[in-house]
Amino acid sequence: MFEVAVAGAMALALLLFALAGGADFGGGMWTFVARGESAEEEVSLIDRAIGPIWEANELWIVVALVIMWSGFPSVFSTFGIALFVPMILVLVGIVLRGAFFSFQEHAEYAPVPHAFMAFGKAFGAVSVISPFFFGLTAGTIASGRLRFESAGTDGERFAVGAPTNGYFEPWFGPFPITCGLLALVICAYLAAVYLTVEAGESPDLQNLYRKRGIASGIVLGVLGIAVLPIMSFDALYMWRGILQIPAILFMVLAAAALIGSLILLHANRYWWARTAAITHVVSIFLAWASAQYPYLLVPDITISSAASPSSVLVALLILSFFYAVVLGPSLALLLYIFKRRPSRAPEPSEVEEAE
Amino acid sequence: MIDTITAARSTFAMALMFHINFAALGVVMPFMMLVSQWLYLRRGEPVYEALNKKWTTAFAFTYATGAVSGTVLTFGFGLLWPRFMNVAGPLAGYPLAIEVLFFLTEAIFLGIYVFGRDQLSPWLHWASGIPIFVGGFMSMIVVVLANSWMNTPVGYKLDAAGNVVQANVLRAMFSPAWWYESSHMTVAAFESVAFAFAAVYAFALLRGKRDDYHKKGLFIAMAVATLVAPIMIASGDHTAKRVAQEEPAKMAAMEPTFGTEAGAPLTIYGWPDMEEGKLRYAIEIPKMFSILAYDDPEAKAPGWSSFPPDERPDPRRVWWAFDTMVGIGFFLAFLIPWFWVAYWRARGVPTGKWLMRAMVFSGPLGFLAIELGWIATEEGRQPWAIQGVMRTTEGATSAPGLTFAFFGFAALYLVVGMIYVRLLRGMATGPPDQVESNQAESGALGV
Repeated sequence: MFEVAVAGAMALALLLFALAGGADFGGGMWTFVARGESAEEEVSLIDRAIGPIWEANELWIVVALVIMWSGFPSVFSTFGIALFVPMILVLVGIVLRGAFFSFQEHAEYAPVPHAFMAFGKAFGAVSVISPFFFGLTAGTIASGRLRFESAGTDGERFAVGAPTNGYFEPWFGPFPITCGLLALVICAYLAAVYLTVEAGESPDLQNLYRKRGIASGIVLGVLGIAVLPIMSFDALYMWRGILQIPAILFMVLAAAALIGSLILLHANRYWWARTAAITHVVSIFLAWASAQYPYLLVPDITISSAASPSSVLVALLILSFFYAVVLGPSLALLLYIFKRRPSRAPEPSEVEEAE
Repeated sequence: MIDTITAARSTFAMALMFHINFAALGVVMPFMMLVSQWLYLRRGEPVYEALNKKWTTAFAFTYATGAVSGTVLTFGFGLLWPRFMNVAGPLAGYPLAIEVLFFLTEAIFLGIYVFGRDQLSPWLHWASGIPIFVGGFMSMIVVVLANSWMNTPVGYKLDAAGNVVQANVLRAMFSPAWWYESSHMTVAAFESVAFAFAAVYAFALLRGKRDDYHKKGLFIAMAVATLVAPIMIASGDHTAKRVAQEEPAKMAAMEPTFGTEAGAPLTIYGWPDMEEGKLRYAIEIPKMFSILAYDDPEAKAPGWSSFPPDERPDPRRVWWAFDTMVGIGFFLAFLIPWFWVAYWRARGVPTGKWLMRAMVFSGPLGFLAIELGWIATEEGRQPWAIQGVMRTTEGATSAPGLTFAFFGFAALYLVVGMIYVRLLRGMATGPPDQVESNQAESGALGV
């Protein structure tokens, strides 16, 4: 029982990473496509919107990983070995994206002119790496394409096992690659919808992101439909799971929320559109999670087969409680202070310069 | 092509040696921010506020870079050491799970502190800085708990295949090495960052920027350094004694004694001649090692040769790092009386050329000492990843392509590190103009 709760905590961290961190990556993509007269204004808006919170947003993936290695160590080792190539590319994307965003934030200290936009372009370009390979990795795990032969008890001491079909073949296929593309579009869609709310004081930018939100939402819908037939032959376990209750109900909800968000965007109801977009992503996530349950790696490793001794699981649940108690109020305080900031106020760094 | 073990070790060593600096800065920079803002709130002098704002900007940038390099380590555990993590995950991995909570708290309150400056009342704003410091401080402690478990593993039971079947998380967290390792690391962080701050302001003073802003910056840094440098001497002594007890093989490699002898001398440098089995050309202080490590001039120190050949670290990879680290510790401690004597003679923050040069030199030395201490503790545990349980060769991945990973990340760190340093230098612009004019007035009053 404990192991399911710990897996739930890990899933929650992943969901928060998708909702918060994913939108930051999407913000990077919109930074990259910013062109023309309003380019600098667009980039500044994204910079302001994610500046104070991106490190915390990104850390949710780290939270998921620490829960995984303490609670399900053999899954962590298996992924580390079998998904070495895509995971190292996720990591490269995280490093480059984080570094260049923080350089962009502090570009005023660079000795060259236009450093803000130059770092911004770099930050934008590398923002596609992590979401794509992250989606691809998730697709591989769920598809059943990756078969892992765990080391038996009579093998070499401390042996974990090895993938039976190599280090490339499991993820180089239609379903994983489509999942990578889906992850990219979800990030762009989330970011555009969030930015319509953030751009409250600039009607032009708001309208721009409204259009972009609608466009990326339509792409997301088309891709979401296209992934189903691919799933039916390349991810059989998923396909079977997704047609059952409750996954299929979440899928219906996800479709409704996506269409709803597009209508709300069209009607300029931004706050509600954001709520619908979040509902869409949460529903997709729940559909996926319930279709994949009880596997952590389809079809070779389940939640209970990989779980640590129950003392560790209990310790993790206690720790999860502290995460909620400490981070909930702290994040609320940060958002309160951040949103209460006087509108169009100069950035703190600018204040410093002026003084 | 480099072999897998070497590539995995080099890649992880590089990632850790990069990150460890940010970990130290992440603990002590918030402390310096709290001190400077406290001085401003108590004394009302704008120069303290200017220092606080500068340090806050520099820290926000440093924290972001540290968050990124910390994420690399999280992934790196799985990508490079999956077999190690399969055993260590539930044990040493648990304090790391706690660490992320502290690190997240640090991130969130850093946001609150930066954006709350104009919105919170002054003292409340100061108080919002406390969780940043506590988050960083506790992060460091619990991370070191994970490392100390690797040195003195307890609280677990493995089956024949090496899977964890029983785990006592609390016992594993507070393994015998936890206190000496985490206290030593924390004091080291304070000392090295304080001297790094001192180096920045000493450099400006050397360049002739002898204003109140730079003098006060140096003064605060040296005040903190003065508090911790003596503690460091005591901590070093305590740590060495405990390592001699808990990790005798490491001790025998750090202070190369080949044969077991009573009344062992303290040796400084020299060269460990592995074929002859003795330390050549070293400065020897008779019986001092036995006194320092065991509080007894006649105590027997187990020599390196007394450990099984396949279970002992190579002294040539350990002893120089240990000796240099200790040397740096004494050099930094020696700077403290030099500074205060000069302070007393100058009736204020001294700006003498040689003292300032020594201060500038001390900045990188502090970080170097941290790196060397880490090398000594890691190389001193070899060939084990988990002392007495799992060899380093048994912990690594079987995935291919680690050579590419090593060179790729080396290039990545080089680029990121260079831009980081360049932007940080760009921040060092001295005080804002307004503070300078105030300063001229107070300077006339002889403050």
